[in-house]
Amino acid sequence: MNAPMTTPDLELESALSHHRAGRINEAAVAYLAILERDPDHFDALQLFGALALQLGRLDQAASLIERAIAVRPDFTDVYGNLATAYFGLDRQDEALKLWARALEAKPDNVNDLFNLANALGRTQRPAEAVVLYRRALELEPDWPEALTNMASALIEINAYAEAEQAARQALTLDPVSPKAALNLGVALQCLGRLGEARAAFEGALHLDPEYANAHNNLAAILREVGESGAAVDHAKRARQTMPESPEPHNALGNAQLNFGEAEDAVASFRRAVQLAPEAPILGSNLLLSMHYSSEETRDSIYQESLCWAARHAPWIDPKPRPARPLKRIGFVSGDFRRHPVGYFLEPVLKHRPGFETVLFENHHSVDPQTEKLRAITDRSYGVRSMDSQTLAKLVQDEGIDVLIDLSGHTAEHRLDVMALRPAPMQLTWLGYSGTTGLSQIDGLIGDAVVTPREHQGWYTERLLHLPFAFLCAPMWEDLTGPPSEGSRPERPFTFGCFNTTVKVNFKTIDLWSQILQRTPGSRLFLKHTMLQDPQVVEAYLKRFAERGIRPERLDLRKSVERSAHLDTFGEVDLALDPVPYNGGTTSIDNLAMGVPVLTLQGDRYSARMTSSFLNVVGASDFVAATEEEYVSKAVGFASDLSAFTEIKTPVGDAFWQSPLANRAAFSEAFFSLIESAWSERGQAAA
Amino acid sequence: MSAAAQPDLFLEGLAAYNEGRLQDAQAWLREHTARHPHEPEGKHVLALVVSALGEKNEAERLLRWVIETKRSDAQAWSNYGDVLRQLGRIDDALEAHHRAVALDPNRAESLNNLGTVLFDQERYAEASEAFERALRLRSDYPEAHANLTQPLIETGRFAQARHSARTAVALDPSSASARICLGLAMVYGGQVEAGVEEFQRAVELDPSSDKAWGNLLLRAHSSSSHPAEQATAWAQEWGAMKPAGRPARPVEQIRRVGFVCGDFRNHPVGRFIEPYLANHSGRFEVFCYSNTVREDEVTARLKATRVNWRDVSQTQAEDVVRLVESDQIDLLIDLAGHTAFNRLDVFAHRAAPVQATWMGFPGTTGLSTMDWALVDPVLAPNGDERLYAERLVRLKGCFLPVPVPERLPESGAAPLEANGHVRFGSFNNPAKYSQAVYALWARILSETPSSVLVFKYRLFGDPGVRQSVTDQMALFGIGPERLEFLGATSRQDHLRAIASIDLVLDSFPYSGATTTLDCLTAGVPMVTMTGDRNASRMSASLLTALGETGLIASDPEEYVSIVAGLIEDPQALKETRARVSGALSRSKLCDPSAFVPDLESAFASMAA
Repeated sequence: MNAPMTTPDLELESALSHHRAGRINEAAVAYLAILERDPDHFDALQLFGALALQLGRLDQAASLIERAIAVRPDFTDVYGNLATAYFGLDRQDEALKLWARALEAKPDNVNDLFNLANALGRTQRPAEAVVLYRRALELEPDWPEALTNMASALIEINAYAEAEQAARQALTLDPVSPKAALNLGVALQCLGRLGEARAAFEGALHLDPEYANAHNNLAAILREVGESGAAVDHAKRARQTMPESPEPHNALGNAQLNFGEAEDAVASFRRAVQLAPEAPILGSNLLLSMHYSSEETRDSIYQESLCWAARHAPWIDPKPRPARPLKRIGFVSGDFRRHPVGYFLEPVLKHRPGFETVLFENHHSVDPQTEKLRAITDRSYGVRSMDSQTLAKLVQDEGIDVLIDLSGHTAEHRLDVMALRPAPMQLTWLGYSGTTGLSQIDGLIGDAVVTPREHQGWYTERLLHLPFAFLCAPMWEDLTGPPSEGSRPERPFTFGCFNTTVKVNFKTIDLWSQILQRTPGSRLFLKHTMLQDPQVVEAYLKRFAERGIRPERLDLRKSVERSAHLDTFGEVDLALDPVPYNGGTTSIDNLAMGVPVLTLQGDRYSARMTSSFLNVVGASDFVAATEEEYVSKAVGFASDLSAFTEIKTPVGDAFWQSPLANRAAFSEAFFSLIESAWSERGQAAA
Repeated sequence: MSAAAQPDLFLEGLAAYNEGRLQDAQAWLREHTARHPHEPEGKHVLALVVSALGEKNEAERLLRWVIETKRSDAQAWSNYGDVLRQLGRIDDALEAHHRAVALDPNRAESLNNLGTVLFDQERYAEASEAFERALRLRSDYPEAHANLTQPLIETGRFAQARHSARTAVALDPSSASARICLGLAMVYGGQVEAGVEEFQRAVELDPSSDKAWGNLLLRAHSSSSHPAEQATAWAQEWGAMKPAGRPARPVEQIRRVGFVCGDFRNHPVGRFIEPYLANHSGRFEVFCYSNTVREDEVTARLKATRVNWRDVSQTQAEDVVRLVESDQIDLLIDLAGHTAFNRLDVFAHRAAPVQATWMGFPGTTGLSTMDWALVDPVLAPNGDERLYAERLVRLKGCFLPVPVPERLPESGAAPLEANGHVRFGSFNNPAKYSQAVYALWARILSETPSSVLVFKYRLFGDPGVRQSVTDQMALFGIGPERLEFLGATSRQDHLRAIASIDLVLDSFPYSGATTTLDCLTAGVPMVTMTGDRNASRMSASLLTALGETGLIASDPEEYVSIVAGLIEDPQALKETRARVSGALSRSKLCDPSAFVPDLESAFASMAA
């Protein structure tokens, strides 16, 4: 509260002393009395205004301080309070102007610096906020609130290391500030130091057990480190405290996915989007979750994709394509690392085309796969901390002809940049099994099975077909041919699935249970990182038990390191694809290891991936068209081992002799497709 | 504080309005405004309620009061403008909308409403801009996305139009108007059947929407998947929903004839009616009731003929009826059917004792108050009575009076001789391309190796439309290298483009009419196929009048064999081309001394 005094005045002294002592009513009565006598009494006006502000009576505060300023227009010390009132009344522009004027007159007014910085932070101007916080801290260095709020703004501008420092300093000065602890946690989370972040959030909750944001953020971390049950709990706590906030719903949705509860996850994400339709990530999460759900249709997914694009990627007219040969191709992704996208991209780039290639890496972390990819491209840029305009400009300055998105709506995408159309031609490939919904993406690279021409109506991108499948085998170093044919040990018929639990929804469990019911003695072997979480395991055991499948039939394991992983394929007779979302990497791995995958071919990309691979390998015995066929094929295979072995045995060789294993040919076809799309565009009729 | 909780009349009324309970809302709000006559909010919402109930005049009065009381209420001005538009007071509507936007430039709804008026005035670029501004303010605004579709189509921004329409449906799947826009986008992209499906959904979502029905009824005629009986059944379903109009009154004699049309301008209907209006015998007193919004040089010529001209473009149906009655019209003729700018609302009331439909629409209107349909024996052979609610009057000659064509030099040798490969051509609106067309033309192309199919229509100036048709042909196995696309050109270049074609392939089941005339003017032969509906027989009627029945197929096999017969026999192609050249200008089709008496005796016969 700014309360500089002007002239001595007994009545005023009395009012002020009530005010300072917290005797609100007495203070108010006293101020009113002065103003009745003298309506233009400056101090009474501005102090009463300050009191009103303290009490949250913003209209009253504004009108009183306006009157005060009318009496003494250049007494800028009171501008700050009026600005605070205006800001609370949603008159943000006026508030910001007032603060600016106050600071022009008195640049070292730390309160005004602080308040204006806070206001800037809350109006999406974090960089400017940081500047002001720094100034305030220069004047008053040991100010925990300023440090805490600055940490928050620093996070907004992706300056995570500095944010960490500021938050730590704040905590040193004020160890019981939940907000400082939260901001520290967020900074650490963004820096990828999940264990430390977790500790920070837990600390914040210790200080304030109902702190919704801390619950949210902790939920996200727990989900990532494989404690999905705890993640759900914290998300629910946050949701309880802040039901109108989107974050708890979002965190809950993510955790529900891990439990294979895709349908519930969709509901959580829908609610998040309803509460914050302007937040692109929530919409992308919703879209992703819809693919995993057995209750969505290609119509509902298509429509939701268009809604996302309407909100976050409004129409931009295409630029004319230069009528010259293709020169430079850019790839944008958060996954140029040990991730399926990083692995499947390698063969394409390895067999170098005649074009220049540039990577726009949307991640801070770098691992050996990143290095491999960098080594086989001409240039790479780290773009994680670039905003859309900056990255779009980079793409343009780099002279990228064709910009290829490798993420779709998956995590760390840059559809915001694709939406600006920085390159004359834009494509999407590989990372997302469906339409982005963007009109700015000219083509989607698929194949005749995964994205047949008849499906064009469910895609905003033009469907482009590679000659075989939409991807080919990664450059495995430890796998160069089918495993040598050992004899199958005596064991029960073993179905297997190494897909993420996210794909193993209730429908899948229904179908698998039917299969197990009809093949007495058979076993189901599931392996994935998610299964390291005992709560997830328990949930699955329970679901199977509810369907009459006892735990003894099931073998649920967490994932293991690579060489052991390869050995586990030998334990599987027949892999089962989840429904509707197929395996991608897992199906390729299975086929390379000679294990056929039984798949139910659905009506959308994500439900047709395995069929595409099987089609190229020539193993269409393993494609089912209906749920009944899926179940009966599985049962048939398990019931006649020798017949099954006859059709299983050739699969490994067939894979390695198929175009799926011919990386050089795939790479050539890939770039040839892009080139012909480029030149076809260049020749569009007048 | 009051003791008992009185229902807040205004809040109850507002809640009822928001929930669609219009009668309840009206009751609450009338009571509220009676008790608080100086309170503008109540009158504002009441205006919206009565407007939704169809009482536009009262809505106008209420809103006028509101804006006079609260001069800076942007929402009130915008709503006022919307009601004015519906009352046909376009200039006033525009002024109101501009006021609304000036008062609050950040109100997306105001910009959307402004756009609708601009669109009605065919100011397409400005309309697009208004809708796009609305969307920049509110990106997930389904009505603005839907509304944006149409001006985009009109200005050839087809890819964006289709995206806009799909977005509108995605944002509001229960909106009938969004479905209509998507249907239009599909139709103009050469996907008629898909468009018809969207119109069907629109009709299901809002059976009271004349716009949905009109589109469905018109486009059904282009769809090869819907038989003629289906279009008739739908038309009758629509007609049955109209309140029964006054019954027909036989008149002793037809003395006064009125034509009702929204296309008295440079448009196929305008061009076909001109030869009659310019040459009518004076036997009847002729009146034109024009619903034409954008007038042009053709309008001026029509106004200068011996007709009594009435502009009804801003007149409500009841008032048009009164006007037609006071003009003592005996026979009122509809020239639009279910096409855009029709005034079937006037015909539904029964404005004249005898009412007929002619030329603008290829089938029955479905109205019980439409007494006659004027056709010819080729267009509607015996048996077609079953497809019409109206009784049929058959002319002796062609159902269309044809304007005298330009005299052109003889079209000379077939281009095939110079090119070494066949050039097929289509000059139709891609809105006439049914699945059957793509299938048959793909077959013809595959059976004529190295032949090319040239598409020319103004919509093909847009890459999105070209892509759409290319994709459709690809589904039937024809690659893009076999196709050529041309957009709008000058008239001269248009005729030259036609002359560069060896053989024109007519669309089906909705044939060309104007395009057929253009081909005959340029002297290039055309193959047409008749089917189960009138729309398929328009070219056949014209060709029969010229004696070229050898170019008329009655099924796909015959279509293919007529094509093959001409292409494989260059002499036959040459002779046909020579015959066709100049045939039109020598024929009775464009001879008023032939068609005027034919038409006028048909009009006279409708008195019975």
